[in-house]
Amino acid sequence: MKKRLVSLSLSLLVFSIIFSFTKTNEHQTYVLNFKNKLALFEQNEHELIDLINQQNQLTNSNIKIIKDKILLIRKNFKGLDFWFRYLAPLAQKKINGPLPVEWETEVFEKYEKPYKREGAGFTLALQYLEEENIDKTHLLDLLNQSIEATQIYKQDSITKELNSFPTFYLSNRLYLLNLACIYTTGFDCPDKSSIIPELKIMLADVNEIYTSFNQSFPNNSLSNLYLNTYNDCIQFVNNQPNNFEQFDHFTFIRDHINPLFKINQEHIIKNKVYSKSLMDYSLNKNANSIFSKQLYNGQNTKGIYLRVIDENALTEINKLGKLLFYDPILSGNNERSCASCHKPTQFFTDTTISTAIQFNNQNALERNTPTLINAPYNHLIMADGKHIDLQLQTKGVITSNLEMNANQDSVLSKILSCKEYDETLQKLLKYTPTEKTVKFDHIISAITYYYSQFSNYDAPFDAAMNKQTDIGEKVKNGYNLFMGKAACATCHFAPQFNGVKPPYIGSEFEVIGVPENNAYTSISNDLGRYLINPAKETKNAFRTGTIRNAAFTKPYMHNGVFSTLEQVIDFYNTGGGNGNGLHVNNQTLPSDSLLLTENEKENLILFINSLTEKVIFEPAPKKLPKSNLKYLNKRKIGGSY
Amino acid sequence: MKKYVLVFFSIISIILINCKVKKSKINLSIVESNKVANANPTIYDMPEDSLTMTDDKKKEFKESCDRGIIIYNTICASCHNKLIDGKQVVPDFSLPQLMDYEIRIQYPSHEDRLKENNLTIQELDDVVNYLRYKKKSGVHF
Ligand code: HEC
Repeated sequence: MKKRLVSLSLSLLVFSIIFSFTKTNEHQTYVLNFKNKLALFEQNEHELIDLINQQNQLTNSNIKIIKDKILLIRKNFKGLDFWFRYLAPLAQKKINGPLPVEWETEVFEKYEKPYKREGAGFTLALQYLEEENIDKTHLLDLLNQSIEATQIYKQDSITKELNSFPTFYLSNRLYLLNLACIYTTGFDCPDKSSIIPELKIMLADVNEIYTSFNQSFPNNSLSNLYLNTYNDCIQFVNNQPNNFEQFDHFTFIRDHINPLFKINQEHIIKNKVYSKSLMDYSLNKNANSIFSKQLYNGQNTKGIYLRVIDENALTEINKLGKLLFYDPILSGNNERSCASCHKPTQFFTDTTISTAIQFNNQNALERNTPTLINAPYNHLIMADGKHIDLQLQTKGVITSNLEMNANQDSVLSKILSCKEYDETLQKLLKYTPTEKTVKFDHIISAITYYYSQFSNYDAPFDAAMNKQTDIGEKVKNGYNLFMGKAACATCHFAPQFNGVKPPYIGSEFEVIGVPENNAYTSISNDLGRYLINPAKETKNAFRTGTIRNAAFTKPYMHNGVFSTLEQVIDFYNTGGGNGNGLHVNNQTLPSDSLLLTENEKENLILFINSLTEKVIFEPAPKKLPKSNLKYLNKRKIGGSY
Repeated sequence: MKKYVLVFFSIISIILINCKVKKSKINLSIVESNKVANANPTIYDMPEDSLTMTDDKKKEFKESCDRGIIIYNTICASCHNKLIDGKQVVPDFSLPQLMDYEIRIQYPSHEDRLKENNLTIQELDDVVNYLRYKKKSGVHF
């Protein structure tokens, strides 16, 4: 018996060893595909350096040769980007960084300081070659950094990731999101004539990756449905003109990329894929469309009540939040409420003035009241990204002496002096076991929970992208302009059309040079992001806001300088601040004209109109809770100014 | 040969079933674990720099740990507590294991319950404070 057992366990051991060997062999096609592509890429990188080193002088014809080589390498790079962006995003920025310097704050590092990332690589080298008086050392530096970064992809840890099928599905998800947001807009490809040809190469390269993956991972392979849909996508793109301005982004995304995304999400669920990467930090597995409010998690709207799922309790919190939203008890003089500036009848902004009046009821504030709708889909709150969450913003505005000028303790005691508030808050206390008494955090959490419900609605454009309804040709054309010729989409990313781009873990800031007034006499003197993170690149930088509901959220820009969408489009069409003769350092917007025709501008606006969400608004409460302090019972619903 | 395969699989499945049973036992006793935790006086080792800590800071630290234990019991205990001689024991985690936001994502079991929409940054800090400075139980994770 013993012998048998021994032989049994021995044979099991042998089996498992053989099995594990065949397994690694199985994965080899896929991993080899990666390694071959990487080797070719690296060889090309070195050839490029040699080519530059051979030139004694950088004459125009030499530069042309160098440019052609870079363009060739970029083509080589397209397939690799599938892996690069997911597996080592920082290295990717050294190889093909879109911007020389970026200041980033990522979701999982929110409580740390923003940090600087310097880009390098081909895009920047190509851009540099457009300048006059090219310094060979700088050019070589940009490219050497990319060679250095390439080494990172040779590490064992990368091979290990490649051998794990979940990583494939997660990389593929990011790839699809980037197809919808990045690869077709010229975001990292300044040479517009290369965008579509490079896209065609990329689609074909990734098809090869798919084939090798399916060979290597037969048990977790991509379905035929996916592969067929992907092949249709390739065909569609191959039949599209190479002229980027004529590319049909709308059909590409609605009929091809979004369906592929849906199937990939199904694969993720079916194969029980989980992520170990911060890259997937805010993406939601259960979203079955890119044009879905579920796609990513931006903010915790419930604050301290975050784990409450009991429907009755949530209804209570909602009711409480609504009363508080309209209650001037939150302000120092009991005359201003949230609704004073965020008018619920005007998409939670104030469409009648550029910037709201200060607490002193005399001067105007520096910045325009933003809409609260879709605020939860930002990672950083306020135009300068001052706050990392909605609750801190609420705290900030209540205690700001320019806005509501109150102090936390007195607001809390005033609120608790109202029997109705007190009872509700005490009753809800059991849902926050870490807190023994009612705190200011309970108040602000109810408020953020209340107004965030208005962000749950979709727009006709979403319905069209999800193939529930069709949408007019002009809107489609407007979207194509948005993604293409008008270059809006290089900063406003689907699905929120704000500055949160795949993988949706940070908020972007841009310097566009918004003027102080409509006559463009000077740039707005608001320093923006610089006030929070004083670095020269962040001077006059502002967080990219959403385009959703823009038709109803005038005025526009941080200072409310523009009152119509036409003015906004004209601002961009004429090259932003620099294009209008203002001296803007580090403008992240092209300064030349977009050459939009009147008809094109009209279509752009029709597209923006299609992003108006079907929000169901509520009437104000009929009365506010009574306080046992007499003087408080004179307060008006919504405040008096 | 077939016989052995059968025997082999039945052993494996017995082991698997056993694991499940054990786990659900732990799950059932969350309430119990809260009781145990609340009954124990919440005493923590003070952080290394406690000598220079002001009284306010010490109070803040203790409050954070106090919140941490409640959050631990609400979210983590059902998976992490060990049942030893019929008693719930909170295991000791090592310092490298307690890497704040990496805890959120490094383990598949954490996927649903440790995301931002179920556990805030502040709360994660509190739990980490608690686990780091609680009196050691001598039971390793
Ligand atoms: C659904 C069950 C579950 C919950 C809930 C859970 N964990 Fe875990 N946790 C696990 C498992 C299983 C592992 C080991 C995973 C592995 O090794 O792959 C783990 C690993 C860990 C580790 C890392 C240990 C190491 O090996 O490095 C830490 C630290 C940890 N958990 C802390 C927490 C904290 C703190 C909470 C509560 C906020 C929590 N866990 C909630 C199941 C859970």
